[in-house]
Amino acid sequence: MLDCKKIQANLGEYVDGALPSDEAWRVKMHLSSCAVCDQAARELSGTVALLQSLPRQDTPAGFEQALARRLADVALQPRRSSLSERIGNWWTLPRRVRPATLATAGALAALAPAAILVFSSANHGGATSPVHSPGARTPSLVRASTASSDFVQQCLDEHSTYAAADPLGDQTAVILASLPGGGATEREDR
Amino acid sequence: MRRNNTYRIHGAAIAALFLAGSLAAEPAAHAGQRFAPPRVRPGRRAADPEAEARRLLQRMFQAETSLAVAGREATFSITGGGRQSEQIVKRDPKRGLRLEFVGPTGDLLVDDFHRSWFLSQGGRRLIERESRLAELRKGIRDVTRQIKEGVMSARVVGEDVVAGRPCVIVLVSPPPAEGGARPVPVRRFWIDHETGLRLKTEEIGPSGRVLSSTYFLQVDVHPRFDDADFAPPPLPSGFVKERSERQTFSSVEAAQKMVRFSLRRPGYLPPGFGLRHVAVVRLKGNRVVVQRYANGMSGVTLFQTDGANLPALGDHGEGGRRRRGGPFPGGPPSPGGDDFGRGPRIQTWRDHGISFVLIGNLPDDQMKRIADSVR
Repeated sequence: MLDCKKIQANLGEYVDGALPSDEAWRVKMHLSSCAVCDQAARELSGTVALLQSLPRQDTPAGFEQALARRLADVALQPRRSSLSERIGNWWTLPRRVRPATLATAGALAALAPAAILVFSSANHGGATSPVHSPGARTPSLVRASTASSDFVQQCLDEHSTYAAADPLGDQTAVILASLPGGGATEREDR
Repeated sequence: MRRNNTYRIHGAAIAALFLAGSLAAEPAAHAGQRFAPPRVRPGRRAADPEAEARRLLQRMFQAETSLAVAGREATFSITGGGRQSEQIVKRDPKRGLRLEFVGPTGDLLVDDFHRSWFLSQGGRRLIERESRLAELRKGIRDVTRQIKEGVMSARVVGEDVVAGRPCVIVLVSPPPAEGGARPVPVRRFWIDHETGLRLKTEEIGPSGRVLSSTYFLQVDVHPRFDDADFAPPPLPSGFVKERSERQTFSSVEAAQKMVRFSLRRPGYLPPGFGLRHVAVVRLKGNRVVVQRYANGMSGVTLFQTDGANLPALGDHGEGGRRRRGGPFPGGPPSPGGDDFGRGPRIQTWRDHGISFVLIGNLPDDQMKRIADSVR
């Protein structure tokens, strides 16, 4: 059997009619017997046709000049110092200033767990949960999204072990389909 | 001059011997067969294509449980806009299975009939579970019975060559729904003439679209393995080991004793689907009841838990019932706008304090119908 991977690597040129005739014939013969490659060729042809049917968008007048100005502005903005540079700068602060910044950082760190507990009880507490409008992202929703994404991913892993044991199934395709590639976080906000 | 002539004669004899040797090395399977360009030839004129298909499937199951095989496979799937992989396969009927994904993920699956280990490079974890092969062998008995009883139909639909080996193609279809429609996928299997090994598998959706395909690029039917091939993989530095323990039950009623809430089950299932597994597992610290419904080719898995640690999965509050469905993992829709092509479908909802997750590779309408029927 011809290697579908090699065929699909040449499909773009085949659709464009850019392959030498003997190569094109080989691809054509393969497509007549391989449903997967044939489908890929059809979809590629459809995409090309769609792109060709779209009206050409011209850039507005002055676009290039505006772009050049924006690039120049970015180049002139002060460079953000790296973490090591900032630590070095802090170390050079007068000694009387350093303890104050340390105390502030320590206080914030101590308050963080309390803040998390407050948010957590507001989210898990009662039988009623507030309805979050689409797109609204609160800390509790983000944490819920992450935890529920992990849970759903574990369910998906568990599901794949059952699906892979179907005698007439395709274990490899099941594993491939269950690999993470997006995440439920996006779905939670919809 | 005489010495030159002697060299010429010896050279000609060596060339003749070489030519004869290369012709004799033609594999026995191809003896007498003229190699034709790979294409699906029309179905063979068997006296009874369905009986022959059943025989071939039986042979395929026997080969999977008794023959060793190694090789390189490729898999295409239209999940998430299109995915593909290549993997090295080693399968020993006594020692287990090893799947090394050489592209693109580098993941590894090892199964020794007792336990299975999946090394996920992307997730940086090593997941240990019950053996999939042990489950597979149990499932073969059920599917064989379904085919014998005619619950699933099978017929020979053609011939082809895979990895240089002639194969017969068998199409297996689940029972049709009312009106003759087939709401769930069907499969084609390329079964090696000589050994009965499955060399290619294709899944075809209800619209006729090929959803996935796995086939050997190169196969060795007389492989040699090392013991290390089927040993548990070591835990790489920086990876986390997870161990999943599953308690299996013979029925939903038996599993009911393990949880405090009333277990629910789907009132609707596609034709040919039956309850295959019931188990209780721990996921994210929650005790979760798992029900697997399948027909031997496709299936759905229903998870339900009242775990207090589990945040609400898109709920409207107590008593509310809001479902989130869609593809998982997320990604662009597959070309052609076929929603079903986006891989595993997941429905999640919460009802009276119980969280539900339904996962399956079925069309959206079937998934929604099953989810709606859960009571």
